[in-house]
Amino acid sequence: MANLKPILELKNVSKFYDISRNVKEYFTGIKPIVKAVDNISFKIFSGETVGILGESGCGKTTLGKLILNLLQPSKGSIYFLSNDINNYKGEQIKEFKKNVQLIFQNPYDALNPRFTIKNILLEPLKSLDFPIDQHQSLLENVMNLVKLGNLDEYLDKYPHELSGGQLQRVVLARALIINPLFVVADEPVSMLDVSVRAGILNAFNEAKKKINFSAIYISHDLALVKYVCERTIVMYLGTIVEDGSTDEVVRNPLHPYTKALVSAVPIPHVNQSHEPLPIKGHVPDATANYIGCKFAERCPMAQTICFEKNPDLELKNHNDHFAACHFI
Amino acid sequence: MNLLSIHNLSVHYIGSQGTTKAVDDVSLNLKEGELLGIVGESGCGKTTLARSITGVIAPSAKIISGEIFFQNTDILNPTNSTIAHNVKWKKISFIPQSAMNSLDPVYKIRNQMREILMVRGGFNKKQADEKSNYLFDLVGIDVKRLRDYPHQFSGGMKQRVAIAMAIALDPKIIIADEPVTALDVIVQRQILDLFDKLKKSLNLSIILVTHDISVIAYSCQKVAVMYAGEIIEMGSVKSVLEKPLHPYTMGLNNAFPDLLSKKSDYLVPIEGSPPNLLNPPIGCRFKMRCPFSQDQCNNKPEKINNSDRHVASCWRESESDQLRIRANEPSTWINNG
Repeated sequence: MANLKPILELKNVSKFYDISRNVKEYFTGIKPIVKAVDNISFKIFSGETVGILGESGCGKTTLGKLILNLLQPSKGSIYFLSNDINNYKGEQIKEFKKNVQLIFQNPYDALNPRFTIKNILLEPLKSLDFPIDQHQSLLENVMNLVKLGNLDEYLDKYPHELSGGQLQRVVLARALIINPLFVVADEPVSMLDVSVRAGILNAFNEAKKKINFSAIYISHDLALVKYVCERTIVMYLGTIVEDGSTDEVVRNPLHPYTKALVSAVPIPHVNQSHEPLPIKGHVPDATANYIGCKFAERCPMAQTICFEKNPDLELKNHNDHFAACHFI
Repeated sequence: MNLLSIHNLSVHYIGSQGTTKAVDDVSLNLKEGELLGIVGESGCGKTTLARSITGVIAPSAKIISGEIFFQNTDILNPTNSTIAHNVKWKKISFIPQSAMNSLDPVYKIRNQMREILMVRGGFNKKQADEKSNYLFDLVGIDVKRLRDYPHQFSGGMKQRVAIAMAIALDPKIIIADEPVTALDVIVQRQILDLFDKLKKSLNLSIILVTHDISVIAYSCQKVAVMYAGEIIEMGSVKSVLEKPLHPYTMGLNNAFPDLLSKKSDYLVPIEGSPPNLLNPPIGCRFKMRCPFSQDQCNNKPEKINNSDRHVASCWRESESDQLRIRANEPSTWINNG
């Protein structure tokens, strides 16, 4: 992999939010800072689908927005095909949008209720200046791709006439109609019922094979990440704690946080462990200033060094499996 | 002994476009000390069923028929309305869906606890505060946090507060509607463990309504599977998950991602979507999506009656052994309709 060119590269990216939670903080200007994304670096290679896994508030959605150039990083830079995306201007931004697309979490909110499905799907083609004679064929291709079936049946309908699963297929189609190189999927099935989820995930996987895009898949559900992604990055309070192939992360989790996550995932079997989780307390205050490991206060194996020194993300075994912990 | 027993309950929503048969002729038993799961997709009527037990249903919802017995008293019968009034909230309490949003943002938690304990429980202020301290201890929140407002709590903590409120008046039954749906896996596990602990220490019976089979598998002893307003399968969790009798349950098992399964496993969706309950199909309501449907399915299969056995409402229940083998093949589900 080392000599391949990454499609996306993050170098020491951080995103800080100032928040004032009360009048005193508002007027004194001494505002706490939330480090939503804290010094993150990783590369994604062509064709890879990487799962970003973490609890709510760990910064995974912020990370997605940074990659889409919807937010500016506070520090660090993001490279798409070796170009810094924050230096893009004018036409370059449009070019970037032709390559990178987003799949939203909530299909009910993501589609304009006054547009027909046809207009929704043609919107990206129009705004990104695709020649009109290509529109029809792109439309047909993408409708086949997401298995929305019969063109005439859906194109003139409005979003409220479709079910949640069909709407999410439309959202998927809108992202894929321009054949993007890179897709950010932010919890695309968390709003859907179990029996339709599988269909969306299968459509996503098949589209990936056909269009051959790379993707990050943001989720808090390890079982779904396992179904879609070859590689998984585990985040905790804005930092990466583990990075490895999904199989490795599930079978052989290294970081104590990942271990807790894996054992907490409910499984549809009766004979399962009811052991107490190897983790204490709750997700702590994101505004706190950490010197050592952010996970230390909840960690069952924490020692003095964990509170004093922040561990780096290091290669821990031969299978490209990285973790940030002093004791692995 | 059955603590709660529901017989042939039907709840309909009466709207301008017609009548939505959200709960249709449902029967269910809850034994003392049991943790019963109700599982189904959105719109299958599981929330309406849970809400009708405590009577907190929308104005447009009407209980058309049926009986709900709590310890041999029919709480739907108007002649028992005084008893029913006392049963609701004191004996049967309800944790609504996204309970975290059901806390009032402008009152401190202590005041909200007092409201329940003083208005419904007849405590005085001092007793109420003592009881609140005890309850917070029980659900694992620092007593100091009683002074805080809801927005100062995380999602999991708010859920704990909602649980503390639900057990405030020492109920016998808790009905929890999707108690862990909006929570992260670790918090989810902690809340489920809390339910288990409370069930044992307070001798509670719990009805847990969820769309997540894994939650049922982790927590419950008995499960009722709902589809389109009807209970289509019921039995012990072990036997329903391992030997499902109804094709819908078999399909759900295939559609569910399993962390421990092999990579090659393929998630198989159930094609189509649940029927519109304004005009439910005649006969079996799953027949449109069912790969095993036959002519017979245009007639209504036998309803599930209260029973301790593992039962399903399907014409081909007796063939379930063969159907299960076929249901394991993805092609069975894909080529259908």
